[in-house]
Amino acid sequence: MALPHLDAAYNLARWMMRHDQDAEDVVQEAFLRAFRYFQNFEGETGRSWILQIVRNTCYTWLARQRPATGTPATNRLVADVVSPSPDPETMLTRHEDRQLLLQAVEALPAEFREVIVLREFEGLAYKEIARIVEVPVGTVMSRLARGRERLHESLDPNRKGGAPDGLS
Amino acid sequence: MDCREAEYLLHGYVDGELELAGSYEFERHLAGCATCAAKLAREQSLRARLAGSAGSFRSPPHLKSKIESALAEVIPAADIRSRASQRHAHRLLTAVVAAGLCGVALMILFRPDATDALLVRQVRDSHVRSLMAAHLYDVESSDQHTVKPWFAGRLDFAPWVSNLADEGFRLVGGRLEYFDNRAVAALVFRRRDHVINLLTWPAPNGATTSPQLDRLEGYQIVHWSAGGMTYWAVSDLNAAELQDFATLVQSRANFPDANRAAPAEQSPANTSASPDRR
Repeated sequence: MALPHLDAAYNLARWMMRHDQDAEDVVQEAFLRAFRYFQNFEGETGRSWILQIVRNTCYTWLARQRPATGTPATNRLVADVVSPSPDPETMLTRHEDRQLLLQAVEALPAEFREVIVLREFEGLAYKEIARIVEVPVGTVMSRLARGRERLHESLDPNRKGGAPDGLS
Repeated sequence: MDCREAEYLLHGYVDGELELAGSYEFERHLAGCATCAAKLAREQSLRARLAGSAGSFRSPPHLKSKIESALAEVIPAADIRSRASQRHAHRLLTAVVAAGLCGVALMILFRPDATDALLVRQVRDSHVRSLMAAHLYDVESSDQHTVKPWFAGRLDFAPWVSNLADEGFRLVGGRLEYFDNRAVAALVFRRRDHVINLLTWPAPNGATTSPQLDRLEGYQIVHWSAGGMTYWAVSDLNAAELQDFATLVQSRANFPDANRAAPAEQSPANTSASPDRR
C-alpha cells in the first residue's frame, strides 16, 4: 500500500511534537483519517491535505497532552535528525553550529516553527503553506519574517543587526 | 521604493515569491541602499545555514508497516458507512438485469460445483492477506499499458487489464498470486475506501458460467467464467457495487470490440448494449 508524503508528514509531526513516539502516533492517526476521507492524496494537493491533517492532529494532541510547558527535549534532537556527510576538519564546529541552529528552531513558538519547517526543510511555497496552516499568504510571510528574526536573536544575541520584531 | 517597503518585501524576495515587477523594484532599491542590502545578506545566510543543517527527520522504517497494518484493520470497517448504498440501489437492479442478459446471451448456465466453496474461501483469504501483509501490488500503476506488459513475462496467459476509473473503479496495480495450483493474475482496483481484488486465470475446461455472488464473513465475492477465463472479484464493498463492477468487467473483457467502438472508453452505455453484436 502506498503512503504518499510519509516523510514530509513525519518531519512536520516530529518538529511540532518534539518527541519521536508522539510524532509516530500523530502521523498514524493522520493517515487513518486521511484514508477515511480521501481516496487519493497523491501529488501536491494531496501533500497539502495530509500535512494539514497532520498539523491539526498535532495541535489536538498538544492541547490534550501537555499544558504548554515549552521546554523541548533538545538533547535528543540532533542525533535524530538526518546527518549530513561530515567533513572531518570542520566537523566539530559544524556540529555545534548545527546543534545551535536546530535547537533554536525547536525552541520557536509553534506558529513560527511550523512555517519555518515547511519553508526551509520541506521547501514549500507560500501558497501551499497558507493552505496547510489555514492563514492568508501575507500572514505566512510575516510569520516567516518574525520567526527568522527570533532565530537571529537566539543565534546571535549580542548583535541585533536587523530590524526589531515586527515592522514598527 | 523606500526602506519601509523594501523591508516588507524582503522575505518575499528571499523566498523567491515576489512578482517580477516587485523583484525588480526591490533590486533597484537595494542597489542604492547599503542597510537593506545588509539585511538581505543576513537573511540569505540564515537560509543557507538552515539548508545546510539537514533539518529533516526521516520517518523511521517501522512506521510505514505500522500504519499499513492499522489501515488494513480499518478499511473493512469503513464498509459500515454505507451512505452511498441507497444511491446505488437502482444500480443493483441494472446490474442484475445486465447480468441476466449476459447469461441469456451466452446461453449456458452452469451450476457451481462443490469446489467453489473452497475457492470462495481461498479468494477471500487472498484478499485479506493482500491487505494485511500490505502486499497489495507488485506493480503499482493505474495505466493498463504498464500493468498488462508487467504480467507478460510472468504468466502463461494474458490477463484482461483495463482501468475503469471513468466508471468509479480506479485501477491501482497488479500482483501475482499462487492459487488453485497455478500462478494467477490479481488486479487491484479501488472504489472510495474499498479495495477490490480481481483474480483471473484460464478456466479449467473453457467453461462459461454466469456471475454468482457469495458472501463470506463480511466479504462479497462475485465469480464467473467467460471467454475461456475465470474471474473472481472480492471486496468488502457492498454487493450491489461489486456486481456493478463484475458486470462492467464482463462486458469489457468479453466484448473488447464494443469497447474499442466506444469513443475514449467513456460510454459504458455503448459497451453494455453490445452483447447482441455477435
